[in-house]
Amino acid sequence: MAAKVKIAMTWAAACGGCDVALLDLEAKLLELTRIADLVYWPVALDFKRRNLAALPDGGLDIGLYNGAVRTSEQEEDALLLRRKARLLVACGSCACFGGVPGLANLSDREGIFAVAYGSTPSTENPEGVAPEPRCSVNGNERTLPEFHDTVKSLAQVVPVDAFLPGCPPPGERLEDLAGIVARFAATGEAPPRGAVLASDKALCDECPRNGSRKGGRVSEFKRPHQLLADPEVCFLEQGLICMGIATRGGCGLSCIRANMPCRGCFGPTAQALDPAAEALSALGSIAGDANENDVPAHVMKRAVQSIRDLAGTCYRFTLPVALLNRAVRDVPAEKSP
Amino acid sequence: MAGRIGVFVCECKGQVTGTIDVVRVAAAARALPDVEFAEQVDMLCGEADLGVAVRRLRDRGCDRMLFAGCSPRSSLKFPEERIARVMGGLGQPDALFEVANIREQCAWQHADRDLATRKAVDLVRMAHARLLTLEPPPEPVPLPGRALVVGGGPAGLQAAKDLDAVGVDVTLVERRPWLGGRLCQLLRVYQSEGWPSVCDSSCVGPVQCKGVLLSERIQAYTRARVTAVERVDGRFRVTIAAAPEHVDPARCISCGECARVCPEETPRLADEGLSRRKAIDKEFERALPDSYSIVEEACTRCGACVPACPTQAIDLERAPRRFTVDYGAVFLAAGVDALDLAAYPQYLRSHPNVVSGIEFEQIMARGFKRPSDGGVPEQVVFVQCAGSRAGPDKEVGGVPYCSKTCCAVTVKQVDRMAAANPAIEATVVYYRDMRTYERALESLYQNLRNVGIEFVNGEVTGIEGAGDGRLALQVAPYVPGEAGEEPEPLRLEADLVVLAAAQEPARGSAELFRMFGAGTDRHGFPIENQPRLFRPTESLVNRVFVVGESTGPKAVQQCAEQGSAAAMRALPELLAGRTLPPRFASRIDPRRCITCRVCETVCPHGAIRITEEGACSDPAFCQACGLCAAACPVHAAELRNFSDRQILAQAEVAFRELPAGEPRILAMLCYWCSYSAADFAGVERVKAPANYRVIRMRCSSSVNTGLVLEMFRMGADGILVAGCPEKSCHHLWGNFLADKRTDLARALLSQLGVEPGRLRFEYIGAPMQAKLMTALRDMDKKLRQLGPNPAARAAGGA
Repeated sequence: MAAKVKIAMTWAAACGGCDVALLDLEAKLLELTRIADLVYWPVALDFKRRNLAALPDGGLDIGLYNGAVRTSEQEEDALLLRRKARLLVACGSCACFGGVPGLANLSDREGIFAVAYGSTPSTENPEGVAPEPRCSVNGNERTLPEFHDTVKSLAQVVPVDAFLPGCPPPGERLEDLAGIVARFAATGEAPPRGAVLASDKALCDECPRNGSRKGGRVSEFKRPHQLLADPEVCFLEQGLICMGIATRGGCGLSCIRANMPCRGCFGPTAQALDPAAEALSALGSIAGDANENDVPAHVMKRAVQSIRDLAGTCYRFTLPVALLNRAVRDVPAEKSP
Repeated sequence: MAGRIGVFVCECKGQVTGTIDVVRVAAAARALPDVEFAEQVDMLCGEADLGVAVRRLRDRGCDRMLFAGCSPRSSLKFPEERIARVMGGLGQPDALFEVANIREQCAWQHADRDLATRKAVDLVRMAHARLLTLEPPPEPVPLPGRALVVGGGPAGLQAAKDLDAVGVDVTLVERRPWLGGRLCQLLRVYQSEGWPSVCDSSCVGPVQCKGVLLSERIQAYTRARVTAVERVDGRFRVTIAAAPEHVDPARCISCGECARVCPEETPRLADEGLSRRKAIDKEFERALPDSYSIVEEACTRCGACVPACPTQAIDLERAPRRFTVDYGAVFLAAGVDALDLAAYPQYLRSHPNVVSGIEFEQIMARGFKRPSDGGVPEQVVFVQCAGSRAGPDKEVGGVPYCSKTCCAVTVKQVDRMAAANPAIEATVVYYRDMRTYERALESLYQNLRNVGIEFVNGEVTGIEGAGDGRLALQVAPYVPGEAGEEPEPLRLEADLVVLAAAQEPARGSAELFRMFGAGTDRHGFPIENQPRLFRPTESLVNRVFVVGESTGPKAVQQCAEQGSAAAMRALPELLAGRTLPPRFASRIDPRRCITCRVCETVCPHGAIRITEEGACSDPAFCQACGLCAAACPVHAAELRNFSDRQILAQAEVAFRELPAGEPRILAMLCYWCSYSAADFAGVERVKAPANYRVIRMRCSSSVNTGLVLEMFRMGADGILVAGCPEKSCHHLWGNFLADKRTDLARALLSQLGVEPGRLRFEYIGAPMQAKLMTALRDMDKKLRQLGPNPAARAAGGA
């Protein structure tokens, strides 16, 4: 047997759920170690960054980057892993699309610091101390990674070979990844550049509730806490926004089975112009009763107005890869700072 | 797929050259890919000039033409329909063309020669971008040359007869046991609104029905109904269920021996249950088909009738019939039913001497007998608008509309009663006004007033039994012009009350319209296709015609008119046995479709069918609005020749010539109304900002949210989406869906910090150029204040 495949997994702007998902493979993870060496995995193993840096460029077979890129350190990690890995995989929704941390792009560093180190009810910070890249403590200079204004997906920083979406990636897809590792170990064969380890079709296609969709309009959109959803019936049919219409399938349907509508962690399909736009096109089209010709404008628009927090709902995992990937300030030219 | 393009830049005898440097425009066109030649012509629309142009295209081997000149939509000399004909003469099956509208939307709107010329070059680039990816229209779809008529009343009969006359095979399905519909339940029918005479239904009914029954091409089924419809490949696959034919109509001689021995009775349908018939019987003497029939629910299968029949026509073992046939066109003539007034206790509908108008026809036929005791009535009160014109001013509810025929029917009935039995006192209580329109009906009404028939203006608010079969009516009188003091209620006595009941779509017709995909209004009547002015009887679904009273209460003559009109409209496709799908028909890629059925929900034309492989758009039903394509969350649905790619290709080159710093305004205008408005601005020589570019869409609702965001990313500073005015969208609700989606997109942009005013939706009809220009000028002004779109900057800088 050839030498073992060398794998590294980093931890960037992410919650750690992806690491746990990997650990949840349990015995299969041990099987994987028969063909692979985990040479770097901060959450589970005691290798340091310098161990990774010590590898020759291209000396790592597979790099799993877990998390979005929001700090200078994470950016360095991305560059480092790219340099070392022959195959770089964006692991989890944060690495693929920016994920939930990507919603920070609705604000900026200044705004986030103002809340996190200032205005939250539990914050006591009269001196207004906030993280700075450099500061002096007892005469010693201390550094912190720089906090970027804009959260990015991994592919916005370095070229990515394969994407493994999911918040966290489900077991089946991690097994697909293990398969890729095994194939890579045995034959050196890599998946096609830019491959997404998910379905090419949106989730509805594989949803067990698909048959219950009757094709009617939705008079009012509700939020999941506002009703006890019928466990058999299509969420849209019940007036709940389900991102399954515009989100890749292959997730294993765990939310749907737990009677929660899809929140979009598998990201947009390949055809999507924008992760939120496609859902909004569909939701805006079916919102309201089919009586537009008979009612005044304010009644006609009630249903679309019942859709709240469009960015948070439709870009929950994907804002950094949206057409407009961060909030801007659109003010008259003369007032512009 | 790219072809060889010939470009003509038309000077329009100086009308374009006045503001546009056509030499520059032609030179720019020449530099574009696949352009074989580009030349300016002083005029193209004369027959001789066209001949030269076609030869030029042919000599250079061009299969595509780019015409820069007058508006394809509004030009009176050279509209797109004429260009299509010219291109047909090129002898190439796929000859395609595109127009850069540099006259109405450029030369006639802008004063600055340089800016106008720059815009003209951009318009040529945009047209060229489309032309590169234009594809030929879908193939013709074969259709069965057979038609289905649902409903055997005057409208259905007329359609069937007219189709038969030109050799079309027809199946006619009637739910009741006789043909002729309501016509046969009316004793006499007025001939037209213009001619003061009546016909007797016992004469005209059989005459009209005979024609249908004697035709070899018409199969008529009574006691039959449509139970299922599939719309497949442009055809209607219809399942029809007919009651068992226990009495063989070929043998039955209508002698009545069977009915004489039949022990079972059941209410008679033809007189609305005023009398009873046997389980085996004929509804009325002159009914066609001339055959007895059995009411299934009433027959006990005792068998007494079988040996009584002298022609052995009866077989009680016959099973119901059910068959499925493909049709090329369908005529829905389901008629109306009277509103069930039992729901309004004020009218005391349960009293035997309170009858409906159609029941009164039967009472007239039997010599004016009171239902309660058979005596001759002394005082008859006719109550108009019983259940019609319900509203805040009216005490008793019902439908809000006027049922149109009741006033005329009432004056006809009163006239008949007065002539037959002058001793009977008649009073008409009408609500607000008598609506006896046109020459004959109004003169009949005036005659009745002249002979002293009492007409009371007011609303009957209650009817009570007054003992001995008598009735007391409470009337709230209406005195026009006197607000404030309530007039004293009147009390009228009667021993027969005739309620002119509101007419509503026949029971079961909602399901019928649903099965055929024909959308209905809030009253349940089918919606006609836009522009309704010139497409009467066409439902929103291709080749589904709605005729007779099923589209609203009508006189018999108008029903016949509609039957004929619809038959005529159906003929071209029925006779050709094929239909030509629109150039822009949509299609759905089954590899992407996830069967979310959003396309089906928004399609106003019944063109989407759900199959095992996913949703399927039927080109023969598609009316090319693009609502499916814009609503599809996975871009599985696409409009031919209006794909996102093509539209973005236009947007990409739209502002190449615009000087830096000028706001870039894209106007996404619907094919009909809003695009015309932009033309009309030119026609009226209204000066517009020269920094807007029009992309002609199929419907405002073919603009999806992704396109809007992508255009902002590409650098548009402002986007105006405009569609037809309210209630006038060619696709029923396309403009409203676009308005709603624009609101969502604006809310999203706003969350992202983009000024929502950069995106705007307007309802703009063809003559509303002023509204369009105001919107454009407002946007221009606002965008100059805002500066460049930061979404483009942010995306570009990322």
